[in-house]
Amino acid sequence: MKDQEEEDLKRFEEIIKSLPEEEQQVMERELKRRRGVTVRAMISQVMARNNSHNIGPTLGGKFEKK
Amino acid sequence: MDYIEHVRSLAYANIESLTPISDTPIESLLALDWNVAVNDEPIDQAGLLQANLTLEPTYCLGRAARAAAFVENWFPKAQLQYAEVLEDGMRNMMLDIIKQESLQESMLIELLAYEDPHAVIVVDDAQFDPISAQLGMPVIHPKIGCHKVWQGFASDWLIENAKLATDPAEKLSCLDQAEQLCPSTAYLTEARAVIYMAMGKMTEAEYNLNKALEMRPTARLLFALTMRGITEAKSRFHQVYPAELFQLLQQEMEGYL
Repeated sequence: MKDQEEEDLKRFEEIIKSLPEEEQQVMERELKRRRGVTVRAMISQVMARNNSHNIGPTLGGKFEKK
Repeated sequence: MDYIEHVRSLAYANIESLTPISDTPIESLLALDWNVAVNDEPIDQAGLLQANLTLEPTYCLGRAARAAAFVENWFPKAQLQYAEVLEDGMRNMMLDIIKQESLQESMLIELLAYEDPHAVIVVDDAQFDPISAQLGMPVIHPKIGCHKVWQGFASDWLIENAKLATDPAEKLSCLDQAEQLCPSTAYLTEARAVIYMAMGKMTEAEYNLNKALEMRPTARLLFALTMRGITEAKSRFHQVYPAELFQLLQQEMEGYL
């Protein structure tokens, strides 16, 4: 789905180049908006964490475990 | 729903199977097996969310809630609080190790994990993190935010619950309820930032990101602010963390394309 989305955006970019200049500006703003939505979704994925707090391999390997 | 009673009853499930070995709460807590796993792989966030909704003691939220139930049940006179970890002791240990040893990607992943939201309890002014029992050494977090015990856990539960909702208004409503129970935790503030980001309300998102950063600075928060074009966040990131961590977060973010 993500690859398809990026393909669609690239195709959109190509189509924009073939438009008259005034239409290009409008469509470029739309393209920016669509990419912005993707970036927002990506950033919120990076942020959306739950708490787990088991021990990772480095500290688990260094300290004695019961 | 009475969220406090709901969360308390989840924490109390089979509590009679845990019995104290000492007259003091901390000694008794340390003697118990908290079943803390050593994870070689990043934890599946979806599975973790489901576990947290039933306060399974596989992860820190369930363990801390169970520890609270244990103390309340067996040591009713003990002063008991929920504590949100704002600066993680294990995260600091990892930063020291990363500075001293040759860097591997697994260390960066582990560092990020220790910066994920974390809850412990405070009993008669002493911190208890169930990881202490597993490591055989006390894990003391340099900075914690203390709150009323069951209000704190109920707030965390509501924040997890908000992640299940698909409608942003419903998510925000869950967080408002969490705020009423336990005001201004860093976890709540971060959760708000995430929702506003997904809605495209970047002014509100940035406000909450900055607020969360003041309470509980992490690499992920600094990275998110850097992606928003805030150069101070980028320089602050590089003051604390290795450049390789920035690259790792970039790859993680690009992986969602």
